Amino acid sequence: MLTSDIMSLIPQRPPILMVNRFECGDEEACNTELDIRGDNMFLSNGHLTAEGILEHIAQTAAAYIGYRRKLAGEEVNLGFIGDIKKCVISKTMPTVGQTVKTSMRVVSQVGGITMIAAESKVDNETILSCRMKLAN
Amino acid sequence: MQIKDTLYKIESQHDGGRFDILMLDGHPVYEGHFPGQPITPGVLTLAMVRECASILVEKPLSYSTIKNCRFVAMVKPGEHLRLNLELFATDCGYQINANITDHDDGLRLQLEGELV
Repeated sequence: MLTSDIMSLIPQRPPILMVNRFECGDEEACNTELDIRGDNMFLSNGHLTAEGILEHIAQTAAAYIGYRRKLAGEEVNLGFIGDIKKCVISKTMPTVGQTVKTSMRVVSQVGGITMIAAESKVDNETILSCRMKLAN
Repeated sequence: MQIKDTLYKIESQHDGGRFDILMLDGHPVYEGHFPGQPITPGVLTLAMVRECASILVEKPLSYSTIKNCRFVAMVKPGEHLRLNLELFATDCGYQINANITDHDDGLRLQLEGELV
């Protein structure tokens, strides 16, 4: 499934909408993309900050959770980052006009707690990887 | 982006890397996080810690690793918080240990990482 209607999957809205496209292939993984526009609130001297990519990853996980909830006939709910671990950030951060491509897989899901592993790339170079725990 | 004085205000800065902070109302981010239910995005508390670390060393810093960051409890506009920062110079930057508490000593955020 490729959707541009990301707002049906996550509760975040502009100016902090940080996913443009969402694709869910199998049960426990998904891919998203973010187009870096000039009005992105996480820009610093034209470059996206690590905090911006972490928000994009959190919203990637939120979109995955929202997608599964919708399939199960449930409503999309608010979610929060519980923790961030093993996060490694590239020295070179992407700029306006570039697209961040993120792949995410579920490591574990127990009750309302989802643990994910994610890697974000720009032009096939990894710019950030981490583990994140989300509470919904 | 700079969020000092728009998302938060430093009310006072003390020796040893301690900052008294007020989370401000009215930042545009609250229009989207979440509509009608303003909650400070966790990643912006991370940005706030980084900005305060940059003030301590008087140069702009960015994260190179986040070993562990726990978001223990939500942060909302209007809250008074205390940020405790420890920075240790390394070969390539700074190791950072930080926590954010409220005035009842309730832990909100705990961070171990590196800045360059």
